[in-house]
Amino acid sequence: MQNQLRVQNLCYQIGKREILKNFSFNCTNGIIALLGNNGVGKSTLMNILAGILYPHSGEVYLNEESLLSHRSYPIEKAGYLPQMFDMYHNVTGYDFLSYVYDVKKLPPQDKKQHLQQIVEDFSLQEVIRKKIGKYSGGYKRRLGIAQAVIGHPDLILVDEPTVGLDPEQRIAFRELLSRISLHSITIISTHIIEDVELYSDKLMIIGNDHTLQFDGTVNELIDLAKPHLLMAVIDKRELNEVRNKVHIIEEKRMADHLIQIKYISRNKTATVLDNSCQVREVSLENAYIYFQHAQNL
Amino acid sequence: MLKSSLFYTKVSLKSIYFIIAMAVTFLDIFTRLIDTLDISIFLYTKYFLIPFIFFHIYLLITSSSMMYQEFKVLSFLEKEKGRKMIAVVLANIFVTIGFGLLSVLIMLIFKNSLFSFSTVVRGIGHFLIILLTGSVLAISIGISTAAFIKNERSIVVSLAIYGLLIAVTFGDLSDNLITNYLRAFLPDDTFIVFNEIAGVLLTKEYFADKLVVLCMSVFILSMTYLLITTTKRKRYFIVPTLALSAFSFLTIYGFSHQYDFYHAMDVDKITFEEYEIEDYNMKLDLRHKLENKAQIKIAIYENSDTLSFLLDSNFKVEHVLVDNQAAAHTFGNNLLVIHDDFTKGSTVNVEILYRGKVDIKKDIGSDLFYVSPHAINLVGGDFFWYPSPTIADSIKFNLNVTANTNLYSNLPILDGHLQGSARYVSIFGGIYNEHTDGDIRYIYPFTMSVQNIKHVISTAIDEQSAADANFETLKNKQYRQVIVGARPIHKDLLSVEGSTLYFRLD
Repeated sequence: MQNQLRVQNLCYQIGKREILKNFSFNCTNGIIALLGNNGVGKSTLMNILAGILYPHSGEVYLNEESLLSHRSYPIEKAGYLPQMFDMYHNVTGYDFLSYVYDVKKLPPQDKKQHLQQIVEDFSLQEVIRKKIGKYSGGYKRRLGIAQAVIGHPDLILVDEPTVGLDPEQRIAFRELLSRISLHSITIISTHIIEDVELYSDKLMIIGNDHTLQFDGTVNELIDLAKPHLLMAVIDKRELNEVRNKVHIIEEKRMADHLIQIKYISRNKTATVLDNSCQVREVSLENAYIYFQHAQNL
Repeated sequence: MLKSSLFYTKVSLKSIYFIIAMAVTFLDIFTRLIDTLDISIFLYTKYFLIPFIFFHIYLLITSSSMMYQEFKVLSFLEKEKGRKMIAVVLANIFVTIGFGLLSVLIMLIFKNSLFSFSTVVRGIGHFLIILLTGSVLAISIGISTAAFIKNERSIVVSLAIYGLLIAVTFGDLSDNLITNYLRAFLPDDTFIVFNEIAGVLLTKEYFADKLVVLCMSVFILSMTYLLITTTKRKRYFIVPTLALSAFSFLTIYGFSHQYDFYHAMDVDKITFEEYEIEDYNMKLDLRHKLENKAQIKIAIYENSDTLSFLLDSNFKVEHVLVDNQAAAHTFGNNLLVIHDDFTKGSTVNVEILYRGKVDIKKDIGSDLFYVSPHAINLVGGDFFWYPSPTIADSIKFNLNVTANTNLYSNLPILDGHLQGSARYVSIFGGIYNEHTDGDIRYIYPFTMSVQNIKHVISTAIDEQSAADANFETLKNKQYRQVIVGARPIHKDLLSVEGSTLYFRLD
């Protein structure tokens, strides 16, 4: 089933400080990465979508059902993995999954089979009957995402999914996310570009002004940045001097005191270094840094 | 909500503090408490103090730690903070009920089989009431401190508050408004010396006392709920309103909830008219309160326009008839004065109808004179429960008594009919054990043994410590029954009334 999330004119403020300004977007099944600097409102948006916070104005609909009511929030249709996932240490993983299943008011007759499937899908068999306090960081994260997908929700919200995981766990986790996103809208709030690059179907960037600055695909962001990124090879001893002239976004050490740099040509002085050329392979990280830099101009 | 409560019940039960509380409870039950069940079902609750305290500490810690630990994923699932709070309260109440039922099972297995059904039911009811009121209080303290402090320090604070309540309850602090309020928070039945014959009388005051603890707990929880779920603007209104209602409630309670304590009367200083009671009939109802229609035949020895009797002021006199005519009377300071023309040499028939609650205490929780469906203690001469003359010559009594409990008296009893001559009539009922040794019948509480009673009597004879009037009777064993009953502390430990030896219960 193709799900649809519709967010319209969302505004949220704490006191007089605006955290989200006129935020609107639409999305369907797939992984949607939410990027932005610290404090721009990523977690606030996730909390609003999760029904933990109320916006001051705006609307949020999941398949035309409002998410902005505590009483009628369709909990069974949503899953949420917060950034710092933890649970009471004295209950077992199974106790917790069972509770999530119950709270979502899913059919009791399917409970045992459904939870068993989830435990297998996330390779939790070894630890599921152990107390959560004894889980490693990786298992805890797996348990976290396992609880988020209970009931095959239409919307899954994942806040900073790979923080604290080792590289191997990160890869496994990304695979899990891409698997579950086939049938749901999976919104990932992250500042780790690597998480997004390979698996995201859509990218949203919240600007420092708390508005949605970019809403498109990874390739669209790269295409946007590509014309403005140049590459040059300089002597290592000139690096400080060059830094004063251009905004370097990547440095790569070469032989004989040489460094290959990527930099943004479109800056305040619009300086172009000698022997520069267009960057052929622009990574998402390069594009993202360019985008953030361009916003500040 | 039920699902949430069951989850939090698991969290609560899987705590190490629960295991500690259980270990202490069972250790205490099987090393000490189990023996009390042979003596008194009420004594079990009284000596359950240590398990109670450990259980309360467990509830304080778990409810506090469950509440202060805020997990984002639970906020997502439960949405409202108030919902979590209610779930935590219910979860810990479930645990308390489970703990209570387990303890009740132990009570039922190990209780003395001689205890009557109603005594066992009362004992269990009392235990559960004490457990529940104390537990709900502990839960409310734990949750409320955690709701405001929001970190592990809330555990320390809640334990400190509980410690303060314990200190106020057990400590020798002076009575003032604050300490009295604080004392009302803890069920106090676990440390007071109670009357084991009466057990715990489930009176209006008893329930009012427990209700106050429950109300306070509910008040604390409601206030916490409102504070964590409402907006700032509403709080400005809600907090003072709730605080004011709580203060008003406690003040009303403080003024209305007064116990009647025993005060000795100086009877010798009262001058009475000269008369003699020739015949004394009573129609007594002693089921819930005392109601008596006393019909007294009196020979008048001097001309007088008054006739006086001692009668406790707790009663309400409904009517006084002299020779079937309504007579004026005044009643106060334990003295009933009938106003009429009483002529020397005549005989008058006086009828006095009066009723009233009898619940006079020696101390808080320690009943002295009482009338209830489960126990009766009316000691004539100590307590003027029927209109009595000051000079107590032998009177011919004839009493018809309706009561729910077994009855004992210094007068012979047959099917609720008491008949015989004595200076004063005393009626007893309650959790008594009976034993006949030779021609002497012993009526005593389960907490005592006949050997113990005999030992006290023989010691009194050896040390000649009994009152002179009683000494010869004791020495020559001229009594036919021994009744242990509650009496004021200044009365003799042993005293004789006709063929009955009263043994004062301490």
